[in-house]
Amino acid sequence: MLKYTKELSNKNKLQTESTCEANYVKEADGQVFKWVFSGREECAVGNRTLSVHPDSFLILNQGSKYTEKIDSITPVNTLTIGFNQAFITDFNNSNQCTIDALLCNEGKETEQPQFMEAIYPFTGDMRFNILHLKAQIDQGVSDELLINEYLHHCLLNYYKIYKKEVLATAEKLSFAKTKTRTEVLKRLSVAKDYIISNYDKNFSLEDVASAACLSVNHLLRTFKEAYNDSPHQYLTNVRLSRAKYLLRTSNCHINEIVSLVGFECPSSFIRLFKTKFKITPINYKKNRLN
Amino acid sequence: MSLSIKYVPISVSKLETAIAFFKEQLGLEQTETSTLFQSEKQLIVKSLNGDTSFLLLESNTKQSPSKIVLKTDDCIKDYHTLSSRGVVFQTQPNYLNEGLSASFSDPFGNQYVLLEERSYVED
Repeated sequence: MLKYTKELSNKNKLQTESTCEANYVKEADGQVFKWVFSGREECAVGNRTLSVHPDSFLILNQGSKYTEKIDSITPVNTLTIGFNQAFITDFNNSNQCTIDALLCNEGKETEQPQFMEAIYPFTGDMRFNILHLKAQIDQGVSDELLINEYLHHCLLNYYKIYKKEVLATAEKLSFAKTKTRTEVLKRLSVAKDYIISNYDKNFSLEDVASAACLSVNHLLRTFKEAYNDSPHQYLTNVRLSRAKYLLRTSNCHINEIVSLVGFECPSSFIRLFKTKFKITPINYKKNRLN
Repeated sequence: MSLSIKYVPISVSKLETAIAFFKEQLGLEQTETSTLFQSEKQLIVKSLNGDTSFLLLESNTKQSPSKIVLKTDDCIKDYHTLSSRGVVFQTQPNYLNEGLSASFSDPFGNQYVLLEERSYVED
């Protein structure tokens, strides 16, 4: 097991770990962001079990109690950043104009970004910047100013993701009251995270609805409004993108990948993969190898 | 015929000031004097990995400033490194369609853009 922990003088904390086995009980010290660069890590928060994969990152709110669990044959590489609340407040105050532009606040009452405890896509600039930071940590970076520069950009990148994943998604919901939209979005986010975390298992629509405290009918209608896909289509897309990741990064046989991502039948997987990505899984793997 | 750029010419009003900026602040190394252009004092400096060589040309007449785009693998890191050496940036790292970029000038008004190209297309 390899572990690196650093607390900066402004109380921001960084931790990287490479391990096959872990079972830690923790309390979020600051606003916690978690990434996994290979394999998966499960975080039990309250009655939810959230699974973090290399295509996503998890945000946990200050004070949340959670259990981290890793159980893998190959080492799982993780990065956890705990943002000190004073750093975030200072960042928000110093970058109000940039944040207003990011959140399209111009002309409106200034709205501060929130940290919704959820799984977010690890793509775009956030991905580039965090991979650079991880590379610096792996090389033993000690320059706090440089680390804080990356953390500054990490918050900027999060606010952009927040605008797309939270504010813009809430706008799609057809409820007149903002409060209702926000509450329904929170529940839909729980439903989405349930699907993302259990994509490789068999579960029913009732399970998703129950986790999100919504009726099945309400879930079906509002999920599609928010995410443009039905829960079933959303699940299929998660399975296909994780299969794509395994085709790219592992030597697993296609039949093995089919079962690892929760599909029951290779032929329907191949058909769905080809429909979505316009290439067969075998050709995709061949192209990547070349 | 295979033609490619050998040196990026940069007009400066004082070679000594330019050498200090390119060596101490940008971290380039001085390689040799040049005689490519007659009647001008000139010097070649190149990046440490040898990818880029600049030909510094001392000129007494006012030249229009050059605009040069420098490629970087990590814009945040290089922005931080150059700032700590005293390079004054006109723009902090900001996000463009092409990727992340930041810009600075040399003492002669030539403008440089650090660009970390990023592909946002999924694999």
